[in-house]
Amino acid sequence: MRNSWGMTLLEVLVAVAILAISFVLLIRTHIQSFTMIAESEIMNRAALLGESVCARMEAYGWTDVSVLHGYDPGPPRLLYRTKITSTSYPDVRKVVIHISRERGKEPVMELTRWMTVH
Amino acid sequence: MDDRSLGNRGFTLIELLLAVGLSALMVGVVMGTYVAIRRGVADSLVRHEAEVEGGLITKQMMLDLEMAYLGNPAFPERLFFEGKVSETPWQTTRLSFVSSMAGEGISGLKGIVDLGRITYRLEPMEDKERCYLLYRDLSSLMSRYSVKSELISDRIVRIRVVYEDKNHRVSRRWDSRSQQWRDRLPNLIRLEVVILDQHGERHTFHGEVHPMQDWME
Repeated sequence: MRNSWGMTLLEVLVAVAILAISFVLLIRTHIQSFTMIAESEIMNRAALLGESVCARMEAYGWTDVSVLHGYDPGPPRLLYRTKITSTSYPDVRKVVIHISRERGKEPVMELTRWMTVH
Repeated sequence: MDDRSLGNRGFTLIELLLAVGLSALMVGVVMGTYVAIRRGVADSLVRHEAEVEGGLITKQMMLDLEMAYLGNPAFPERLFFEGKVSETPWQTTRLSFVSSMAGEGISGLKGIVDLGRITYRLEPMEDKERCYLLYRDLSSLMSRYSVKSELISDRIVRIRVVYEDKNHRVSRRWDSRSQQWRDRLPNLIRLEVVILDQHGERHTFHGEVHPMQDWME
């Protein structure tokens, strides 16, 4: 007769809590995939923006200050900032384009190009 | 002996109701969240598909235009490409140019560079209003018959191409055969590609290209 007893309330609650935790973990993986999809879209847009900034620099030269900072209205809205530094070759410059979602935030992408002065 | 004192009792009715109630509440909350997230992921996949397709089309056009031999007297070009969804009549829907990025299927001048004519063309869809098919046709300069036609999208709403010359003058059309354009090569080509996703939402992509014109130098 001693083995025929049912579950106590505490046992049921523990079982439900374990189930809930496993559901939360499952949901977390879904949220992660959701976030990764959104991030890859931003990277895709950022790559297009970076290429466009380089094209504009090549087209109009480097003295045009307006190309150094700017933004793509989006969506998603992306800001870009270019940093040009000299290299050991007199005619070659290193151009780094930082692309971020907000000013002062970590860049979502950094593109580096070596461009010749013309 | 009283069974309850031995610890082998089952649930009381109150305990059972409480346990079932709590379980139902938790399962309800968790399933609600789960369904919402599944729906969100499904939506984001639909959006993602359009984002990838639009990005690839824009990138492909940028690459082709970057290598275009625009302004070369040997390959006189007319560039205008306006697939419109407005009420205005259907206009020119071709963007055709010679490029060294003709890609696979072109056998001309192997080992040096593959030169070919690339033509993007929009065709209206019969069953879908305000939506267009986008084809990318390749033909070798060596043989006018070797054409490879590739359907690259069936959900284009609009493609706009804007040309800027070195003085920032903007035009919707550019024609190297015209005397007016003889000295005004497109310095920057701006692309706008608008595509629809499966839910009917629009996605707009922008790209800018500076065509390499090394043949002039």
